[in-house]
This record gives sequence, C-alpha cells and structure tokens, in this order.
Amino acid sequence: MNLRSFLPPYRRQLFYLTALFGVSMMNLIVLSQDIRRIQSFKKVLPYQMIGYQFNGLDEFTKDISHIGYYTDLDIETDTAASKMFAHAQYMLAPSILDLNNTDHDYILFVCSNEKVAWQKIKEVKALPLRRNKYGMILARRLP
Amino acid sequence: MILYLPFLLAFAIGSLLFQWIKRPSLQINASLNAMLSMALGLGLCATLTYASLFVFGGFHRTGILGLHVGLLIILLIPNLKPFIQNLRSIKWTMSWLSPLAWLAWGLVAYVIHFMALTHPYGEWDAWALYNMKTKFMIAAGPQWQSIFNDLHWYTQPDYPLLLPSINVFHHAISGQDIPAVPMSTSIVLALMIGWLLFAAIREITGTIVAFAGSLVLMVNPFYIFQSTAQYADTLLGYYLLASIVCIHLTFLKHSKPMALISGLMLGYMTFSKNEGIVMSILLIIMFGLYTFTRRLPLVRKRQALSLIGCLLIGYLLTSSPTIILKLFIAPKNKDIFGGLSAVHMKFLNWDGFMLIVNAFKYELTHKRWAFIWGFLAFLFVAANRKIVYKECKIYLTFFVLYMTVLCFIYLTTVNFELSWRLKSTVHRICYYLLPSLLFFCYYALFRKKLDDRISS
Repeated sequence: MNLRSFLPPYRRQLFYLTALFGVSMMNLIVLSQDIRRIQSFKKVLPYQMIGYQFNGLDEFTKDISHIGYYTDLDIETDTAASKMFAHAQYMLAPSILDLNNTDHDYILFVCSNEKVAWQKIKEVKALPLRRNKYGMILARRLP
Repeated sequence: MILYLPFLLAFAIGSLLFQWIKRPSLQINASLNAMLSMALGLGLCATLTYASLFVFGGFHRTGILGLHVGLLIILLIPNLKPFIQNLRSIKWTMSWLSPLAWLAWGLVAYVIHFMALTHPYGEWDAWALYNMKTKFMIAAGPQWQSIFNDLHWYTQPDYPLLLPSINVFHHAISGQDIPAVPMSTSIVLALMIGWLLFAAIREITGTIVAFAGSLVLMVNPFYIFQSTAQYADTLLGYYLLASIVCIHLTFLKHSKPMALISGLMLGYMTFSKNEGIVMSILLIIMFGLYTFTRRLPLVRKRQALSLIGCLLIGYLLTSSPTIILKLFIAPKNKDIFGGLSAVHMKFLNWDGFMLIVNAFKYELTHKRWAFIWGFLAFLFVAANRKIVYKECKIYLTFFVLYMTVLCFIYLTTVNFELSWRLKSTVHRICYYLLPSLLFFCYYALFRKKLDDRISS
C-alpha cells in the first residue's frame, strides 16, 4: 500500500506526518501517565463510591413512591448538602425525595448532627424505622 | 458477552433498516455501512423502548423484547435475500496492516474498558441525572413519568431521554443492572465514534490515513475519560458525526435515501441532548440554504431540492419523540435564554464575552487534550482554501453559528455564575464537537482526491 498516494497532493505531506506523529506520541505519553496515576489511586480507593451513605435504606424504601427528605442544611448554598441530596435521590430511586417536606408518611432525616435529627423526629411525631451506620434515619409519621 | 447482546440486536435491526432504505445502487464502504447501521439501529431501539413505556404504562420486559423481535422479523422478511446478496458482494480486503489495525483497536478497547472500570457509575451528571432517570424508567412502573414533574429541579426534568432509553433497552434485553448497563453503553459508544470516524474518513481517502486519523481520537486520554463518564455528550457527539457524515454522503451520491437517513440521524440527535435540537436546526438550515443557492442545471436543481424534502421527512419521523416531549410532557427549561425576561443580565457585556473566550482558550490548550486541538488547527491551516470549498461551507458555517449560539446562551446566563457554568461545560462542548471537527478537517484536506474520483 502506497502511503504517499493517500496524502494531500502538496508539499505539506511531511508536515502532516510530523504533526500526526507528534500528537500520537503526546496522546500515548499522557495516556500512560493517566493509567499509572489511576493504578496508584486504585490502591487507596479500589471502587468508586456513590451514595454509600444511604446503603441499606433502599430495601425499605423500594415500595414507597414519595419520601420527605429533611435536612437542616441549605442545599441551595451548601454544596456538600446538595451533593448529599443527589446521592440520596440516586440511591433511593424510584422513590421520589421531596426536599424538606415532612408531610409525607415516610421521612428521611439527613442532618448535620444526629441530635437535630432526633429532635425533628419528635417534633413531627414520627417513629424511626431504620438507622444506618452513617446516621441516616428513615422514619414513619404516626397516624 | 450478554452485556453486548443488545448492541448486536440494535445492529441487526439497524442493518436491515439501512439496507431497506438505501438502494443497492448506493455504494459505500462496508465499515461505513456497518457504523451507520449501528447508529440507526441504536436510535430506533431506544425510541421504540421509550414509546413502549407509554404503551405498556411503564417498563415491560416481555413487551420490549416482543417489539424488537417482531421488528427484526418484519424487517427480515423483505430484506433477507438482498441482505445476503449484499453480504456476499462485500469485498473484505486484507492487507498486512489489517491484523495490526485490529490489534491496535483491541488495545484501545482494553484501555477504554480499563478507564470505564475506574468510574463504573460515571461522573456527576451521569449518575445523578441520566442513570437515576434510568432507574425510574425501569423500576417505577406507571409512575415513571414523575421524572418530569415530581423530582427536584436539579435533575433537569426537561432533558431528552435517548441515553436513558438506550439503557432501558439494554436492561430489557440483557437483564443486567446499573452500573453495568450504562458502563457498557459508554464503552460501545466510545468505540463506535472512533470507528465511525475511521469509516467516514476511509470513504474520502485511504485506509491508512483513516486509521491514523481515527486512532488519534481513540487514544486521546481525555476523549477516553469523557466517553466513559457516561454523559449524553457521547451520544450527542456520535449522532452529530453520523449526521454530518450522512449529509456529506447525500451530496456526494445525490441520493434521496441518504437524505432520508441524514434526517433520521438529525432527529435522533435532538433526543440526545437539548444542544442537539439547536445543532440539528442549524444543520438543516445550512443544508437547505446550500441546496437552494447551488448553481446547477434546472433538472439537477429539482433533484437537489427534492433532497430537502427527504431530509425533512426523516427528521420529522425521529424528532417526533423530542417534539412531543418538549411540547406536551416536560417542563420548560429555565437555564437556556432564561435571561430573556426582565431579569438583569449581568454577563451580557464585553467582560462576559472575554470570560467565554478565555475559558475556551484555556480548555483548548489544556495538557489533558494532549495537543489534539493543535493537530486539528494544523489540519485546518493545511486545508487552506478548501475549508470553504463547496459543501465544506455548510460545516464551517454550522460550527461558527453554533459557537455564536453558545456564546449567546452563556452571555444570557442568569441562574448561575458564568465562570462556574463555563468551568463545568466548556470541556464537554469541546468533547462532543471534536469527532465532527476532525472529520470536517480531514474531509476538507482530502477534498481534492474526492473531486478526482467523482470526475473519473
């Protein structure tokens, strides 16, 4: 196969091949650096952790269509709180999390500290159903 | 292997449909035939799955399976004979380079798989939006439509649903769950874009140039990272490239079936992301303007104008899910042109414009792209005047217009900080435009050879 016959019909053939070689080399160098970086990172954290804070709650919520999501943090201004809400929604889907609506039968309490959560549970007259090891509490309002 | 079975089914359906639409006289290389068939099949299977959610009132595995097997049989009956003949007519030319090429692709596939395993849930928007919606579409039963009304606004309830629909189709056929489903979809799409680019460049010039050109993209570290991030940008980039390639073939072959297929691809693009709607409209306008203003004899002019009709029919067919979604189901988007109301637009000024320019300058020169934008700039300069030659004008004007629209959207930002918005979107814009820009530059650069071939 004659490579020259495929190249553009001007003197820039050499420049083209040089540019192609250059960019290919750069690609391979950066790619190998990335792979090495990932391999060393995987020794510390072998798996991507998404929504682990809500582990164990999904088996209780799978048949609940709407769940109130109570937090004492402002998710509009607090990035960590908004991320936590997204993690919860992902983990507990297809249940719909209704932010700061405690009128639902089931309420998930995700508070800055557990005391606040227990206080709020008392306030809304709910009964804790499940608390996971990360301090997330799923409660049911008393009729 | 079961993870990749849905893609085989989509490919089979797409191949038969492609064969049925395009006539035997329309000759394109086997790899391009296969890649366009895949794009067509994947879009059709996703749309059919999405429609099934309405028909069956939620996810229904047997129903989805039945629909696709039924479609396969319907397409198989009239197409079997010509399909086999077509398969026989394909000439598989093997050179000493072929095993090396397959070895290189195998290595690329391994690296993409490795990178996908490092973030199996995908990046932020992937799991928080698309995969979360996939969960609703699979497990919420008749309540799946609550993704449009009941979820928090950050889940972008107006976003088109092609990617979640592909994943639902995948789940229905393979029986696998999240995160395996979206992860394998991202791997397949990452490879498909590279192979489509290879096949498209191969249609213009030689295999070695096409192989090298596509490999530059496929081994780019940031391309691999973004592809495996499971964003809908990959799908948008895929259908943008497929649309541009089909439009190019439409002009090259003066083919009505190809115009119809171009329309179908443009329609699928609208269902991948909101940006796809803007891009499809711009491409159609450019296609129409170019066809109208071309200096041709009257008979050929009429033939050329009929291409617009075919393209629009195809577009209406596959963009109908997006039209219905946008008009009747999804709420309005508050982020785009949100500032057109009486709200003060604090970024609509020179400083805002310079912020956008600097963000793109920073992104295009970033180390993570491994100088691929420099290579693209070289191709652009090397193509010289051919960059505005004949139908190249369509693509160049399209890219310029699209960047103008994006700039306007950025300048009218009201709900966010512009710098934050730029930081979280510019790299994604560069990512989904890259394959099409590479094809465009290669096409412009090798245009002379193409002219020679047509005239001979």
